[in-house]
Parts: sequence; C-alpha cells; structure tokens
Amino acid sequence: MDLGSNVLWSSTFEGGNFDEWTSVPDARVDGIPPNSTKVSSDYAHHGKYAAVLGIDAGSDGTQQNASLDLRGQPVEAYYSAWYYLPRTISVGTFWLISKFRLRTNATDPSSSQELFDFRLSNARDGSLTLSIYDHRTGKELPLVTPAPVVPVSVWFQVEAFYRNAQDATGQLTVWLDGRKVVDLQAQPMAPNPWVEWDVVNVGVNLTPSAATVVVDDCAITLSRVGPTGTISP
Amino acid sequence: MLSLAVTLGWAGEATATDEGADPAALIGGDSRCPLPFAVWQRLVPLVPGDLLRERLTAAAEPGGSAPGSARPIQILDLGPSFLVIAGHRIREYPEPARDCAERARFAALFIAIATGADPARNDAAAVPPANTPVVSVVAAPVMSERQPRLRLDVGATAAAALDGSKAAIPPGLAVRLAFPMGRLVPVVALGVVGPSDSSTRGVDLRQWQGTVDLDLRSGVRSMGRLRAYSEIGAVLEVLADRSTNLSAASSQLSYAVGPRLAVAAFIATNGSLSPFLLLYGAWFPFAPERFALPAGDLGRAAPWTVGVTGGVSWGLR
Repeated sequence: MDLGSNVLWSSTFEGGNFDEWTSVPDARVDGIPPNSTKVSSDYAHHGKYAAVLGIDAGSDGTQQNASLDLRGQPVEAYYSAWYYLPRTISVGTFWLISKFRLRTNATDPSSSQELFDFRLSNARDGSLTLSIYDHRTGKELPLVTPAPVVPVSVWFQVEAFYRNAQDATGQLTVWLDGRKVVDLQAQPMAPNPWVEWDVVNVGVNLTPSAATVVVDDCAITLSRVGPTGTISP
Repeated sequence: MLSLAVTLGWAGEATATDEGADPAALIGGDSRCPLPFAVWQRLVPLVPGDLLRERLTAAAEPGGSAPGSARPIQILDLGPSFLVIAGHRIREYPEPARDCAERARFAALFIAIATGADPARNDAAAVPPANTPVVSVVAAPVMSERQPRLRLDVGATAAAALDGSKAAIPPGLAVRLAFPMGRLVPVVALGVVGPSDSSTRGVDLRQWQGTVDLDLRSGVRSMGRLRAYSEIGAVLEVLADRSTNLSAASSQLSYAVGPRLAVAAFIATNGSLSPFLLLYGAWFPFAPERFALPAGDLGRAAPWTVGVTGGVSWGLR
C-alpha cells in the first residue's frame, strides 16, 4: 500500500528533458558553450536518462559553469542528488558539484551571493574528496569524516539537510552515500529565508579541462532519502 | 466425562447389593443435619433397590448432576433450612427447628419424587405436611450445564501487532456470537482495534485494525466454576493505515487472511451473564507491504497479532 510521500519536488529526467527540473517557478538550466547541459541516455542512475553537465575549464583561470538551479526553495528540507563522474580530474583551482546560495534581499535577484560550495579536491593520492566551503568565513567546514572519498565511475549520493534559520537553530548536515561528512549546527545561516540550491559543474583550471558531471534523481524532501531511498514509485 | 464415568461406576456397585451400596458415593454434600446417611436410610424403603440405582444413574447423566460434583444427590445444610439437589431438581426446605430426622424424611421423599418414584406406594407418611412452605423450587439446576441456543460475548480487547519493532498495544472492542449445536460450536466474531502508532524508517504510521473471524469452539471443560474452551479458525483483517508525518499522506485500506487460535475461560454463574477472558493469536503470512516516498519499502504490516479480550458472555436460551 502506498502511504504517501515526503518528496516535495523531484527530477529524474525520465522524460528525456528538463521539464521536471523547470516545473517549478524560478528554476533554470544553464550551460553556455563551450559548456553544456543536456539530458542523455548515456548514463542513468535509475531509468534511462540522466542530466549531463559538461565544462571545459582550462588553465586560463576562467570559471566555467554548467548548472541546474532552483530558487526560492524550502527553508528547511533535505536536498539530494546522485552524481556520476566518468573519470577522475586533477583539480587546479576548484571544482564544484553543488551550491547553496543566499540573497541579502530576498526580493532582489541581484543581491544573490554564494553561501556553501560542495567542492571536490584531490587527496595526495589523487583521489577526489568532498568538502564544504563556507563563503561567509572563507573556510571549509570541519569534516565529521576526514577526507571523504568520492568514487569515480560509480554513482554516489550527496544529500544535505539545510535549515536556513536566522537564529541559532540553523543547520547544514551533509551525507555522502549515507555517511555524515559535515554537521554544522546551532548557528544562523543566510540573512533571510530565501534559499537557492544548485546542482552544478563549476570549475577553474581542471586537468583535463573537459570535465563531466552526470546528475540523476534529484529531490527535495521532508525526510531523508538516503542511499536506499526512492523518489518515484 | 470422568465425572459421569465415576458416577456410573458407583451406581453399578449399588446394583450389586442395595445393602452394600455406599451412600456416600451417591449422596453428597456437607450437611450435618440431615446427614447424607440418614437420608439414604429413609430413601431405600421408598424406592426399590434396582430402581433407585437406575434413577440415580439417570440423574447422573450429563447435565443431571450438580455442577462440580460426582454425586447425583447433594444435601446442603443451610442452618434454618436445608437444600436438596437431585439431578435437575432443587428444593430448599425451611426447617428452623433443625429436626434432623424430619429433614432426612423430607429429603428422601423429595429425592424419590425427583427420581420418578411414587412415595405413596411405600411410605405415605413420608409426604411432607401440606403446610410446609417451599422456599424455592427450581426446575433447572442452579448453574445449568445446558448449552444456550446462542452465546453473545461482548468485551474490551487489547492487541499487540508483532512485527519485530516495538509493539504498540491499542485498545479495542470485540463482539463474538457462538451457536452451540453440538460438541463443536461455530463462532463468528467482529473486532476493531486502534489506533496503533508505530514508526518505520522515519515514517510514522497510525493504524486501525478491523477483524472478522470464523472459528470452531471446542466443548467446554469444567474446572470448578471455571469453564474453559479453545477456538480455531480463520480471520480476515482489514487494516486502515495513514502516515502522520508525510507531507502528502494518503489513507490506505489493505487486507490479510490468516489462521487464528484462542483459549478462553468463563465463570459459570446462576444467571445468563458470565464474565469471560479470551487470549488469542493470529498469523498473517501475506501481510500487506507498505511503501512511502522517499523511504521506499517500509516492510510488511505485522504478520502476528496477539491479544486478550475480557468481557461478558450472555447465554441466550
């Protein structure tokens, strides 16, 4: 018996397009050449399709972006997506796969600013590890699990619980494949309740410069999806 | 059955020799006035020996002896009165003078009449005075063993659904109808239990359970005033589930069928109402599967239910 759902929004790309992603107001799909965003059947976490975000981030120091953006999202929710990296990348400056952004004025789009970046960096052995960069402090958030390794050529899930409170009840907790990696609690977050969540492929100075991030089964939920959860019947 | 066999055995011994018959085996009770032996002495002249044995045997047939006793005749001394029980018949005589000989005579006469003898043929003097007030004459035993035509059990229930997680024990109501027709009694019952709150994989659930069961009830076994029986049958459960913490929850009905076992006891009373207690268990091998997003599979509903029902059983004749 189907008892219902805590899934507020989801995008599985199973329509072969971005219609699910753009079904909510103020959603955007960005990928200006040489970068690209497309739905492809070359990869899929579930079903037949996934979104492929490609960038060409050479050594010229230019930031390259391919992103799927959602603005005006819930003040308190779980934000989950599955990622696939077809190959490993040597990160020169930075490489991001997700973001939370803020607005200093909730009604003014031009007041958008970065808040938390979900970064991939190389460990000494070259493996990719996940970290969360806090633009307010200019530092990475302390890790619960030291140097959480992100697999290559294997689907992995990044899920975040974000409570954008303006008092000491704010919270950002991040899980990688169900393992808690960051747990930031008891502090104010953005200056107002406005939330932007982006699934991205943003990089500067990557080797090779052509970097691909594949994304599937994105969801905003009121309870954890977790590695075994499902966002569609 | 044991009681009947023992009783018939005693009756058989009495046939061998009336003189050798043991009155203690036929006439019971704790009466000091009259003594059972004194009643026996008065009874033998009233009824021929073999006839007396035959009739006392008949009085010992199922339902014919006093409940909880192997003796077909019971004499009870109630102080200013005394009680005589002969099979289905009971009579209480007021006798404040406590004339034990007179009491024995009255008791013997009543037993002779109750067992079908004609006392005038043997001892007309034994007929009680016309003005002897009869306090009560009961055609049926005080605690009748006759099965009612219908037995209605109404009670409160507490049931636990066992699915490996912490078991809730919600309250409920049960109505059971039994149709005594022989050794096995068909039973149809309705029950409702709830609400039961549980949590699985972060999904909080509230459940109501309705049941319809069809059972066969065994013959009643007597243990003093206690009557015990068992039931075996099948139960259909209807589950109404709703999540209490999903943003988009939907109420769902589901069904399951399984075998059911129960043991129960009630206390025999003078009236038609008897308190009862019933313990039961049911197994649902194909309990419904539950699903919610994003948790996914929430597992099956509880495959086991155990419960207890207590209430009143009403025998309708």
